[in-house]
Amino acid sequence: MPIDVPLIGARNAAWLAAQLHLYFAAFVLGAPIFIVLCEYLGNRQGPRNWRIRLPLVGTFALLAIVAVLLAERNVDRIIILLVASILLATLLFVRPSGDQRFERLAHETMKVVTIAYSLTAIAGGLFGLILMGPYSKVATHLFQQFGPVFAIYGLLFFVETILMYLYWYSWEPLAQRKGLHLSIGVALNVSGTVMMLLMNAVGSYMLTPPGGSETAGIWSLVNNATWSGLNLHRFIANITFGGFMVALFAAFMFLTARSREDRAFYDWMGFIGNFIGVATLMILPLAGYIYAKELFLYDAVISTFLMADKLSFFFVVQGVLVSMLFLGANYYMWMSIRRISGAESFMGYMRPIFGVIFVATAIWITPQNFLSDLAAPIPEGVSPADILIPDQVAFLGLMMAKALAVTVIIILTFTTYMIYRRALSRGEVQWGEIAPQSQYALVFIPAVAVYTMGLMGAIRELARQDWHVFKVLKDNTPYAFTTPLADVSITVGIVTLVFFTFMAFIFWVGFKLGRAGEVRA
Amino acid sequence: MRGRSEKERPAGSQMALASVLGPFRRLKGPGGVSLLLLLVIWVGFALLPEDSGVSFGLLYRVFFTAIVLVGAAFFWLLRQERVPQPRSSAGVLGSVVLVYLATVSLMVAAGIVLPQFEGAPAESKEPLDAVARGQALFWNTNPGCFLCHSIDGSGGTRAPDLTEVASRAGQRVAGLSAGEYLQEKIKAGLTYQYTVPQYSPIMPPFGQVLTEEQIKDIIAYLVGPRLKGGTGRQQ
Repeated sequence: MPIDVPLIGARNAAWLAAQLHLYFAAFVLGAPIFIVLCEYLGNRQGPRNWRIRLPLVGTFALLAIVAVLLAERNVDRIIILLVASILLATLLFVRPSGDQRFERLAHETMKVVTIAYSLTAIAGGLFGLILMGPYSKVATHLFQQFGPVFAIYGLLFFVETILMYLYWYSWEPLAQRKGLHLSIGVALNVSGTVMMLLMNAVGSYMLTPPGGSETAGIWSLVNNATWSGLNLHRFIANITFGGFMVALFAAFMFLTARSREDRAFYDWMGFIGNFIGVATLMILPLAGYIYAKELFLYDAVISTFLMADKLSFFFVVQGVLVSMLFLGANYYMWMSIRRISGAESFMGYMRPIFGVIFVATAIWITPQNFLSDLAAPIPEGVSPADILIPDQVAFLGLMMAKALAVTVIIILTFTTYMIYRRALSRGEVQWGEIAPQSQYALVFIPAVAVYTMGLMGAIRELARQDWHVFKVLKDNTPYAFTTPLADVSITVGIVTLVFFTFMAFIFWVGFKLGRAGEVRA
Repeated sequence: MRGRSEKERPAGSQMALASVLGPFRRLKGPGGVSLLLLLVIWVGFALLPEDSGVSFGLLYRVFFTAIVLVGAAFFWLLRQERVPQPRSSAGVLGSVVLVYLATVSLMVAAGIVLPQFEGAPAESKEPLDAVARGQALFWNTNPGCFLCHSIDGSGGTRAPDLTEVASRAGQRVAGLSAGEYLQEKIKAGLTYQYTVPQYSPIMPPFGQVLTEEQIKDIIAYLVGPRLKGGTGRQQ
């Protein structure tokens, strides 16, 4: 290795910078999607504008049909249909409510996105520098393979920056021309999403390069075996993340709010953020399954390494984390139901639902054995019965049982939302009256979400084993080994803390410092 | 009247059952349910015979105990109507940071207590002989022989155990020695004329993946002397 990073080593330096960049990028890509949606919802209530909607719906439907016909793999067809369904449903059924709280939510959140944008670029630049120094061989290889992709990425970086500042600074000037302002917002999201797709191509290529990649065309490199799966998973996860982060801001503002109006608003904002987060979280396991299936079809050995060998306990921790996300989200929802007048009769369902969620969680996270990997021998002096799952209940350790358990958790989360709607039809929400502990659930959820992203990112990278690019470019550095779970946990814990420290700063500048200035003015 | 009072009076067996269950009926709330579950985990499972196939071992009991304790804390939280909140902004910030740090610490701790493999790279960089190279290949995830085959109790179970395979391989196909048979089988995989009975033909044809030299190294390891120092698994 020609150059190393003192104290922490080049690998950890690259890891920290890349993960930090991804956290910020997820926020600045995910939050604007629902900022634009919220701005649209807060728009003055008017006719449905079928003259605009119907041609848009028709065009999207036609594009989706063409894309399905042209898709090379069945998995891609499923992904296209899923994304098209979400888009078409949004176009057909989402209608402006005229509720000005949506406008305020969108405006306040966009303020912090602009600050986070700079930090995203700084973390990305730092990651690039580390790649060009200690990992120059990797950087050279990727630039050789993806030259045009990086060129478009650089160009789009300028476009997105311009659109982002235009969107933010034209908020008031274009207050009377909402259609134009929303169009800028849509363009901002399109450019951001395309940037994400381009970098996903590079990231997915490193794990699943096409055969004969040295001579393959650029489209084969971009459209590699796991590109579409990664795109789908990241696109949905970014919205989930954006929703939970907004809920976090709202929770802090609620807890420190002095006036009833502010408490009511931030209570509502936390609910909307969490709702968007949970609604998209419920389809994430499906997206994850599609991605894992693509990986399995590419090389079954990678899947075995992930699920049954060295990284199997990473997935036990993943089960714990995702269960905690669902528990936190459901807990918050039940606290929300409690603040609806006349909802007492529904509270009887709460404990049984949580009881079943806990049983499902226990099934999900029960490992098949307590051996660290496939080749680890049973330690001397330890009885096999102590660390191997009993024969008659061995099915609990298999994928089928885990998948059923996840499905049960998702269905019960959906049921909780249905109960909320039912309670709402009989009573009225007392905004601002929610119990304070619910706001701590909104602090807990993003902490778990960010940590989960870090752990899953580590799994994806470790799946390459001792390759920079799987079976194409060997990692010959001293860091070419699979990091144990404990070390990964500590590193992810550190980068999570660093990220939230920065977010606290952004939040303070955007929400507190900015507001103090507005009050004085 | 008499008949009715007799009807109301519990039978002997019911009374015995009631006396046994009596103390448990007082167990209510998260604490009571947790205590009951812990009794099942630590006493119930211990009473079951080991060959019943449903008796969980020590580590599983500890694992389930952790789940029960977390569950008890969660259900206790569900019972709380309103917890007091700090009045000052600094207090709120402190409480938020505390919740956040506790959450992250819990997640990091979960990753630390679970079983770990050795993560350091192999220190020895000395040139290896054929048996050692074969051993390294066998236990490497690429080509991943160990994922399906086992040796000395380690490895997968989807394909035949290869411990002492040298003594059996020579009898698989008439006219082929152990080394010749292994070489052809590794190269052709599932397309080879012979598959060990009771196993599915799932082995990929490694002739397209491994070089002649690598196949010879793996055979040297399989039929040669067993090296000291465990499996010698890399990565």
